[in-house]
Amino acid sequence: MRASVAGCAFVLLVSVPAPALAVPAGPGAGPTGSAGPTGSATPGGTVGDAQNPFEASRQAADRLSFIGLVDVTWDDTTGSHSDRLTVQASGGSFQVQGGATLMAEPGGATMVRRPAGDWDLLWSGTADSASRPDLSAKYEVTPSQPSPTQVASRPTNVVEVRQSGALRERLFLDAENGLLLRREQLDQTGHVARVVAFSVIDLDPQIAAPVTPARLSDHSPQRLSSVAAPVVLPEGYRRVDAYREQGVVQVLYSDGLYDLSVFEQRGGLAGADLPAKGEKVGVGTGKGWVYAWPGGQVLVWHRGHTVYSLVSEAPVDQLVAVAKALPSTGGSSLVDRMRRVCRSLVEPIAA
Amino acid sequence: MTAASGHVGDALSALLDGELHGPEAEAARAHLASCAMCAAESIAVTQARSWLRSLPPVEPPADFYVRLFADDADDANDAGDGGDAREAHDAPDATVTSLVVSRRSRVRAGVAAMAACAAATGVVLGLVSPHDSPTTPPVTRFIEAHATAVGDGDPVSQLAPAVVPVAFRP
Repeated sequence: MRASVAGCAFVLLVSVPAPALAVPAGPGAGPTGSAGPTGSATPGGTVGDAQNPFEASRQAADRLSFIGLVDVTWDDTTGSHSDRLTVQASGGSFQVQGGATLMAEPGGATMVRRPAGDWDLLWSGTADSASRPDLSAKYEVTPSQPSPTQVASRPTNVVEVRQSGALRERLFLDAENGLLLRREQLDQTGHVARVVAFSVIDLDPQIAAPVTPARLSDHSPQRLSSVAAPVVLPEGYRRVDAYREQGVVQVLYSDGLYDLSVFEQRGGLAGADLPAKGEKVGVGTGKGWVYAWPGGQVLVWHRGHTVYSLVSEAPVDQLVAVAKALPSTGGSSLVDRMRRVCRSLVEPIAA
Repeated sequence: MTAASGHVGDALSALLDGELHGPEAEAARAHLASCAMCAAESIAVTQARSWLRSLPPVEPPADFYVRLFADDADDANDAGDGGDAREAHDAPDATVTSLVVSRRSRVRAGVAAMAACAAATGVVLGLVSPHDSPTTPPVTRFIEAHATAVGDGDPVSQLAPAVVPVAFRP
């Protein structure tokens, strides 16, 4: 966890050993695959921690050594998509490899390997985020029946996360060690919109830790001690932290289950440069565009002199509610609108 | 009321704007009641003002100022004509036609002057106002920043989606 990683030393990755795993039929093939050995699971761990299954899974990932294949399936306006990734963990280090490679260190440092082979440090792990809201304040976490169910040939306990009775998440936790083997996220209509699931997992204490890179370019954000942003937002989101990177302010919120990043950029939205596959939504009196990514949604809109981008795993309805409530950082008065109209008239002549 | 012509003339605008009072206003209303030409002009001006008020705001095209300045030059010529017309208007034997031409010329000159003032104000406001540079959010970078800033929770479901290649291109 971020909260437990401040000040730790980091070992950097140089190369990634290729995993030798049996590959099942393909992404979305379901909870099948070769049954791995029990590995280094700690008996009597936080199995079935119904109130905080994510914390239980985090603890399991910190102490276990495993290698596996993970299928990510998600929906967007063009249909359903899936991709297969390699995951490796040992000694608290964690690595996931797909189109890019992300690596997280026990100290909290997170880095990405670019296609050219360079490594960028995305998170230094030196900041200590404030505590997040309690998951149970907004959601009910209850065991599901029937249980157990097998995922990647391992028995699981199924836990459901509900908000006001509506099913938001279905979690399949390894019955032996609490590791989250399958996570299903449902949209507001009850449709499973996103799945992250192991198709194969091999738990083995002999699995080596991912090797950290020798050189890194530091792109980690600077933590802001103060920021002009609401402490509380609709849908139970509370401000957790704020950062700045390359002139962009990022304010992080959480409701205990989902995190939500608000990015602020000065300027006007260059609509012609926006991706074409966005879904138009109303944000107050203006409009915004929603884009699905494998982990959630991005909502982009413009107000005053600021372009906002909201990135979250939360459903779209929650993102729109939050976007509507965010105050403008200025520039929407009559005089300001007049100025912008005048500028739009003058610029073509000046050019 | 224009004493020389016997018509309302410029007093019509003042009357419609509520700027005429007392005997002047009564005289103008009495003239409108008996003069078809002035009454028709009053109706036309009233309608035009009503239409203008009901028009939605319109952004001028990019070549608006080019055409405006060209019209401005024409209006300058018209203003010269207006001076002639004014002389004719002041003459005891001035015709109705020359009076209408005079009024239209002055209206056009006034509109051109107001447009020039508005344009000048716009230029000043446009130049001094803060500039909104076009901004395209780097969505992929934001997703990376979000996924890695989220420290609490399950690392697999948190980080795995961030490495799936997704093209966010126009």
